Amino acid sequence: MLFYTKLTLCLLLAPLLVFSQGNITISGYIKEKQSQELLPGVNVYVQNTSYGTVSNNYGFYSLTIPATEKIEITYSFVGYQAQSHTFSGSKNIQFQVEMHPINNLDEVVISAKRQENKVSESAQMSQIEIPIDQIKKIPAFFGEKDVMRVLQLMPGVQKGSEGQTGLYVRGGGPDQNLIILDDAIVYNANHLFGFFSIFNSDALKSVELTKGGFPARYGGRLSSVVEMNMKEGSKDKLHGEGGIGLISSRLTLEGPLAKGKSSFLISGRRTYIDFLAQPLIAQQQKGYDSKVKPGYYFYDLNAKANYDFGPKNKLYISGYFGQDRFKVKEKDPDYETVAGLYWGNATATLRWNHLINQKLFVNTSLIYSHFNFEVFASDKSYKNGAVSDEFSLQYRSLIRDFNLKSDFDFYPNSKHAIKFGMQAISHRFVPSALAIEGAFSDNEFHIQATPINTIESGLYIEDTWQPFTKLKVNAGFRISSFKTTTKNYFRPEPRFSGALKLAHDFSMKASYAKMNQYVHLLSNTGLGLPTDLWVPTTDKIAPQQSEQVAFGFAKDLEKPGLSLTLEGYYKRMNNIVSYKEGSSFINLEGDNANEINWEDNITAGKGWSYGTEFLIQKKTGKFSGWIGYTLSWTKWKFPELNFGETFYPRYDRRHDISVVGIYDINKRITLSATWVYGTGNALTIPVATYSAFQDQHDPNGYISYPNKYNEYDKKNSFRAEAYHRMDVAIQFHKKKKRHERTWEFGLYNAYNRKNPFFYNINTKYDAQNKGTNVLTRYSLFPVLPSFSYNFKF
Amino acid sequence: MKLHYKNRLFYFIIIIAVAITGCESLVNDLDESELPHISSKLVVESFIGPSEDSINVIVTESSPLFGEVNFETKIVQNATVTLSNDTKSVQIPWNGDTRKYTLSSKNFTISPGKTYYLTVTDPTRKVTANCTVPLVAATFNEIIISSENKSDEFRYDSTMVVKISWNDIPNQTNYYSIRGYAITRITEPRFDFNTNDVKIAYYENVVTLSTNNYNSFIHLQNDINLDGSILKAPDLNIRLQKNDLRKDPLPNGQIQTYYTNPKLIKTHIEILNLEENYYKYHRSHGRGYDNDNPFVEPTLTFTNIEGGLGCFGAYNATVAEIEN
Repeated sequence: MLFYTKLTLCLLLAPLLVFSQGNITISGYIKEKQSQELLPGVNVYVQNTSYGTVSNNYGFYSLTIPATEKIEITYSFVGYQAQSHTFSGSKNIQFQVEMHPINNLDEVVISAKRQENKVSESAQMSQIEIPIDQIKKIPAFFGEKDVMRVLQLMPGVQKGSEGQTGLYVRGGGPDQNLIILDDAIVYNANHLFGFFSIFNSDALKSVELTKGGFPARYGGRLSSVVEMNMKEGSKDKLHGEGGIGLISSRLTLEGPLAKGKSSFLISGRRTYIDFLAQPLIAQQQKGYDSKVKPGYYFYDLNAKANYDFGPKNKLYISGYFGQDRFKVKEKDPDYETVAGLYWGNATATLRWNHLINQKLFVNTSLIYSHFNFEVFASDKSYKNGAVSDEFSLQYRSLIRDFNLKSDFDFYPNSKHAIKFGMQAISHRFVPSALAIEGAFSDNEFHIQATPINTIESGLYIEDTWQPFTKLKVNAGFRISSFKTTTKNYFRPEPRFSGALKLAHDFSMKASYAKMNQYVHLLSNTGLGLPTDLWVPTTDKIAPQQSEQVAFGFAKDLEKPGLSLTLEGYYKRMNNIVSYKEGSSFINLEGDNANEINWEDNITAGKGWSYGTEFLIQKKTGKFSGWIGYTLSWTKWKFPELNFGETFYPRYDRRHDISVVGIYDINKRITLSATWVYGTGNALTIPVATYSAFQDQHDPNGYISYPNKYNEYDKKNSFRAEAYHRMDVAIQFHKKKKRHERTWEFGLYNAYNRKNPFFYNINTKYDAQNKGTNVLTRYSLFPVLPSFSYNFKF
Repeated sequence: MKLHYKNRLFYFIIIIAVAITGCESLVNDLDESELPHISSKLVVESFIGPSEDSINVIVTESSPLFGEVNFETKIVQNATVTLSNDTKSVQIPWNGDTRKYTLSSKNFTISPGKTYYLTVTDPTRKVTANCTVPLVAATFNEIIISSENKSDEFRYDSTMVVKISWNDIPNQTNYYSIRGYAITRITEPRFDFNTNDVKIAYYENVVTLSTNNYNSFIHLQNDINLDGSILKAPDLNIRLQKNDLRKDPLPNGQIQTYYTNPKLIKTHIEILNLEENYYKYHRSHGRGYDNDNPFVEPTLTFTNIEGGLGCFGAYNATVAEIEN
């Protein structure tokens, strides 16, 4: 299959090769001078011409240009000194580049990885890159730097409930984001019920979010792609980075394994809320018979190693392993109960970079990804010291993937940069497995939903083409397929993204993308709970599909160093899934527990989302940051929800504003602040109660009592109060003899806004015992101070 | 020691934070002005069928949830209830005994395939609704009444199991309900209100058929993916006590010895071909009980009463009576 793919592509590309006669190719790898870390995204160009390219994810570049006597090539990358090299332009050259970082704080560059690659220059639209350095300066929740939270500050990306790290991109849900860490798909990116993401920014090299105009190399989700790459590990000497915070501590070590050839990185993090809280909890329960012992912690571990076999071959192995464990133990003389919730991800990636020739680069990855989730409870009652009654429940769900992918980068000439490749994922889903002993009957029962094995695959080609100086296009095509027991879904996915230069540093962009998603997340809480269940496309449940068009303008203002983008989008989603009204992931009393047929609890519908996003960003200088504004509408229509009428889903958000400011007062002090505003969530709340007798048909003519029901008005017709919040932080940097340390003090929710987390109806009684129903707002976080100590050597 | 300015800032932040968080709670009631404002609505429930002896309309009113707690069922007695078809209109009078608006079918015939309009007005409100009686009724395929002994019930009682199947009406979406009752006889002592005495006699009982022996229920089913096939209802039970030899004292002091001799006399079963409104209304109400569970999507309750709540629904029933 792969062979034929290559053959077909080579035939297709033959004309381009012919066209390249009389040219020379300059290629090589670009590394950071000190750590020898490969640098993706470096601009490589010939001054005052349109010839140029960008280094790929593995730091490889290839530039083919007409042969001349002398060629001067410039290499430039944000945060590094630009350098130029002159070559005699008559034969092919292999040239390795080492870039020197700029260690001058006055020149600090806040956003945009590419200095020269202005937004108006790129064919891609709706894409955001966030340098890790910047993430480390923005105020963070409890001082825990979180990639996902920074992404939430971008226009078109919204947060869900208070404190949650889930991303809602252009009207899509958090399940519609393709989150990839070193090529491995991460299914559940949440720690601590969604309050932290699993990504440890110390271990990350790059983060990139795409909201629309998706290149053909990505597929499998509807709304966004978040691509993260881990650092390789420094090759010069042992380096460390770490921090001690209120919630957790972390440590990263990296260094050489074999001089110049091989290096490693290992990064770990663990929370200690459980240790800190234990004495407090014990204190509170002094003198009570019943002892409750809650415990919670999470940890994660990133590890990576690489081996450089020379310019032709490089090998990388990387892995992520993280677990969340929540457990409550209650004990009194007659009764003992243990209940808990465990979940975790594990990924492993083996990558092989191979340079076929100066113009053709291939990366092949073998990836393993695993997500499991488990709820358990066990009760024991005692009578006279002996166990009198016992009950236990276990509920499990898991997904396991093996993924093989091959991605080719082909640079036939300076006008084209072609990527093509294929991917095959073997999924195994166990949506639910339930085991119950005791209580309901004398017999134990074990129910295991039949594991579902499926194959998802994709085949793509894309070309970044510059037909003439003013126009840059990325056109591509992807064929995705998914095999269920009896059905084979084949879906073509055309992709297009283009930029037309209207004036100097001013371009107009347009894009179109069709996406298919073959795995669905069932969620009825809106929180990032692991109880949300991943299920595959089946014979009954069709893949989710979306089509998105976006149109916009990008302008760079050189003098103040500002870039402006304005984009409008329209997205249509088909076959999106939701729980039916009244359904739940685990419902022991209904028929569901007997049949555990999750397919019966699901209903499919349509969605639309449209809006405008505005971003003004200052990337360089002492004062930097951005202002983002989104005006958007999201609507859903499900035949089985809201009686078939259109409604706003919970996270429909009319206005969303984020303001981010970072001010480097001097080399030692950095001040930063963020302010966010978002329209309230659309919720369903009851408004009235009434009695319903229903069609009673008693043969004796008796009338039984009516039941009381709630009138809900329409689905999600109640708007929660608007969300707004300000965070501030101050960092003190100091260079010591052997290391650099940073103290950080922060305030989350600085002006103590009581943002709604959820609402509940409560009855309050007065002195005369007269009851009044009120709607109560529950807020989660008041102003929260935080501090942390970070070091680096 | 003089505090360095950065330390001062740090203490300042901590003090402010503690002061703010310590004083205010995270749980707050919303002001009344922020709550959805809704007034009481008329709730109308009426289910009509050609086989029924009477037309009944129950009129109550809803209570806004926010504000004073209200548990009662507020029956509206002063409403004007008008039922009409394309040619005729009648007013349905209030009946103080049944606490419904009731009209005998002799005064207004409900016919299959016809559309009916219901208007309910009270001094301040007016609601309307309409429904169409399904044109055809389903036909029974098979009714099997078998007796089996169930040891986990009262040990020696026997339970008659009623298995019902019917032919789905082809080429249309159908919604069904099953209901019925059984007439049994048993010899037992009962208080006689006429003579003010206990009398032992062979009495008749009417019991509702249900999936278990305790609850009355409304069973709903549809033919999605099963159009034109034979549909089955869940097993319905009729419990009969065991035949006991009893000795009971009579008022005159004598002891009467007798067998209870329980017997099933007649089983009455109806298969209802429901109009969609009837089905949706009962389905959404049957599912509503779990709404307190935060992990469950709330079930919206269906209504086809314009301007109000409740349901005006219709059905076309097929009746089977089996004499034993």
